Amino acid sequence: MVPFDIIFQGIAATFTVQNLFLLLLGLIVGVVVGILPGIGPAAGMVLVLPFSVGLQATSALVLMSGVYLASSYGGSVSAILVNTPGESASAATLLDGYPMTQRGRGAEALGISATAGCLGAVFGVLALAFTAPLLASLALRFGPAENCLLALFALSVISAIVKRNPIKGLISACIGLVLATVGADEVSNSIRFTFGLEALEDGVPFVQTMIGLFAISQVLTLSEQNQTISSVELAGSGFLTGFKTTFKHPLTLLRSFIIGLWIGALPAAGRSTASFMAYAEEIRAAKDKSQFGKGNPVGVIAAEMGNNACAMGDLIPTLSLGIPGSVGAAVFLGIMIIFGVIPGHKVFIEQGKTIYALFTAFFIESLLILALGLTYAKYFAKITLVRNDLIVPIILVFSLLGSYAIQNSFFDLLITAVFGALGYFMNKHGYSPVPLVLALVLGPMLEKNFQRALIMSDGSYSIFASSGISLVLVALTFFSLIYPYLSPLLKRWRIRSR
Amino acid sequence: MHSMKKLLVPLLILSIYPSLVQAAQEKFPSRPIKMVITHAAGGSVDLPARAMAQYMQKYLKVSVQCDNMLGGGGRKAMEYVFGQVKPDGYTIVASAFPSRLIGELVYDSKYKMKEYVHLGSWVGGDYRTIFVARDSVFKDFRQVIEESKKRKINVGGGGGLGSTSQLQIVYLKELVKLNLNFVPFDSDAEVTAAVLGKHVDIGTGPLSGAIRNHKSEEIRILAVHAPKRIKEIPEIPTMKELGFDGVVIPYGVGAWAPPHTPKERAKILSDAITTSCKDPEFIKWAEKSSTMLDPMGPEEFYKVTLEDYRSIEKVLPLLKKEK
Amino acid sequence: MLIPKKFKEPVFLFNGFLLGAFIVMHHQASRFPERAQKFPKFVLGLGILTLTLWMVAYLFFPALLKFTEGQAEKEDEVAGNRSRYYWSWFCIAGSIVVGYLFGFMFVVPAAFLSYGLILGEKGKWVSLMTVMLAMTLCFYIVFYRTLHIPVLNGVFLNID
Repeated sequence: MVPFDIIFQGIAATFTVQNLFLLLLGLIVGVVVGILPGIGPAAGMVLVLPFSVGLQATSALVLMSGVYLASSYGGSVSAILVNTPGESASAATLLDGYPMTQRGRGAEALGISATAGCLGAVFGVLALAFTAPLLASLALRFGPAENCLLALFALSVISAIVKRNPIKGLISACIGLVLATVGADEVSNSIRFTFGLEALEDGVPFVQTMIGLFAISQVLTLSEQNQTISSVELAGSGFLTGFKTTFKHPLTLLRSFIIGLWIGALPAAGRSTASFMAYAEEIRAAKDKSQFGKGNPVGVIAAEMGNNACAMGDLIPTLSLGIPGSVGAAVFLGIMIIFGVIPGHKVFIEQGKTIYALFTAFFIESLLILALGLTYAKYFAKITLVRNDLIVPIILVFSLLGSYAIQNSFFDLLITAVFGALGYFMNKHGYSPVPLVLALVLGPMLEKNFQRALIMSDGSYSIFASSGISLVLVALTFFSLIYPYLSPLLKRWRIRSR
Repeated sequence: MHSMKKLLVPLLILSIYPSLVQAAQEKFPSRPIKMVITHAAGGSVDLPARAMAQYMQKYLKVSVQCDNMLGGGGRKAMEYVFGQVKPDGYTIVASAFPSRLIGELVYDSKYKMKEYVHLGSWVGGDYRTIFVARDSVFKDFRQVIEESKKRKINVGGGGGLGSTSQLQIVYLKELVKLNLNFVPFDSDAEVTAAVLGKHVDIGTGPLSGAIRNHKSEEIRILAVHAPKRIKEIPEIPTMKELGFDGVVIPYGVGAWAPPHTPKERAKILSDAITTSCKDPEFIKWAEKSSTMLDPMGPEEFYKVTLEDYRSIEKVLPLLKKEK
Repeated sequence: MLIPKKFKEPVFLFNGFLLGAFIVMHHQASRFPERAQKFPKFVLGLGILTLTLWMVAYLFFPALLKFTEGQAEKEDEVAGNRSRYYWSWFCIAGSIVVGYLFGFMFVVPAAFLSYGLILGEKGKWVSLMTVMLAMTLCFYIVFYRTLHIPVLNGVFLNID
């Protein structure tokens, strides 16, 4: 246990004029790079790196922490308001956030995003401060076999999602899985399904695909209907509605927090996986699944909670083992090392002051984001009433930029356009895009770990039943696959037996 | 729209920053230089490259802008810079070696490292290592070899196509005759996690990353692929001492300019790198971040590339077989 | 020759295209190394199976398909205007082409002008122009000068 005086020194170190100024600067940069699609937290942190020259380690990390945390809030703003994920981690937020906006509840969705995000970060920091070594050592027990089964379990939720329209849902999932196999297979070093296009060797790019599926298809729909984003007048101010709505779903918050934190603690999976898994889990748990994708606040809560808890969870292995939990965390690690904070299980004692100052900064930032989010929600939401011939080009330009800026490539714009057509078609003809996106996120995790596990066991499938964790995951997957079909039978049987 | 205007204000403030760095000048360089980095922001190639860019702009008096161009394990960026129509010295590339050679030879890429103008390297003296978890049953590399006579050893390695870990595995398989399964991971970090969780028997990775975890007593380095013992960890034997000669796998970060870059411009650039390497602040940065500096001037750097060609060509058929 | 309406339905064409693509890809996958073909073959097989099932149901048992798909209630959506749809594709494609030729920054005026001229409200020029100029300026300052995204890099115009 870390001595209390170190903790207090750390907390006190945050409250200097310089550090508070840097914190605010980081926060602003974070929100801005978050809102802009195509520029993620990693690029944002590198962008402010020149400002940190000559700073003490504590101040530099306080600056970085602002960018790291605030970018996820900014990413959700564009996801909710214009259906364009500002970060890949915010992709799950738009599934229900944007439909809420269309129904005039944009301010509420933004309030939810700020509140659930703040809760995720605050409790995430607490978990990070007090249980990091324990969680990190637990996470290490997840090897390739366990990670593969975890991905499979998360994918099995598709069977619950597609219950309403099983064949089209399955087709959508298959498209996602097939797309996930495109590109170089790093495990066997072979290039697959690139059709001679070198640009596809790194796989179908995720953010560019998402922007096509959601933003471009939305541009098409908006322009053919010649409407504003929100088809009704804005409902209420939304000032505190979102705040209150969030607290009405304590179980959702708890489940999504655990999923987010845990996925974060695993070095192999990042924030977009966490938010999609949390989202999928809520669909699985819900009684009325038909409301998801149509503006169900629960979906926004889950995605945001999962995303932000994961942002903190990613730092668990980063700090306690020196193993970054995600790309963003890897940049964070690199910057920590530049400033002489060497991670490892001793970092909490040896660099205690800096680490606890960092935690305090995260804490303050979460509260600031909440305040900012609640105050500005209703102004941000006004954008949904901007007239059609202005808002359509604005969304178009920003979504194309988001796709272009990642690799500065016009080929990516073609990918985005193709997926725009696909997304429009799927919406029109009753194919849910959710299974596709889930499969695209989880497919690589599933396949890579499947291959690794089989290499390790020399081809024997027994490796998938060799640990207690694996067995539990297998059982959970089976149960989740058959439950949607079993539950009506059970109900009937219960009624009859009465 | 009101809120959009509010957002623009901080952006405008931010935009002033680069114009402060830029100073107009007549001769070369008179405008910003673009340094293309082959790997992702924040990684083991990116951070030293960015640090170097910061000091280079001090001596070049223009800003050096870093641009991460990912794809094909670094091949995309190497091909992009190689194919510059006007090699005017304003676009250079920073990457790791000798993995760029593997990319060229094994994957038939559209660039030739030999034709690249070598500007200089700064990170070096970094070598591949073999490590296990601190509480592993293996206490030294001999035990691993003994065990591999009884069963296949699972070896983890990070970094996709054309990486140095592929080269190391080929060496272990063919020269050390280790009976192994190569388990490829996405990154060195995942390898360390798999080693700590006992999912693989041994892990491979660069010394610069492993040494931190070795010092914090999470892993134990068993051997280094270095010509002589490393001074920070004098107790760890080299592969040569263990009886496997010729198994030296270096790792470094350097910068290149496209072929046919004017000689005097290349000299200005490589002088900036050489001077930066002597900058006390840069050296202090390297120490703090445990980056291993081993600066090489353009001639020496080019010689090393030629040597690397020879040593990789020796195992090229094996590497191609692995592919 | 008269093609029955059944064969002209977009959903049928889409699923048919997918089925064809999946079969071709399944065939291609056989050339991959053994380890690399397992997973693609499995998911492609799953897709082919699902699509075949759908085809059989669609062609021979339409009632069954109506039953399973009927459960999904129709979205209460405003019917769109087809010509606006095609024109907006024209705007998207046009902006991308202009960006490709002159640099990404020119996507901004291209998108605003094409959309505003073809599909916009008549007589609201001033605001359209103001927003367009503001956005272009914003792109120049924020993305080009600050973030160094090469937005002035095109086929005809190459400032970087």
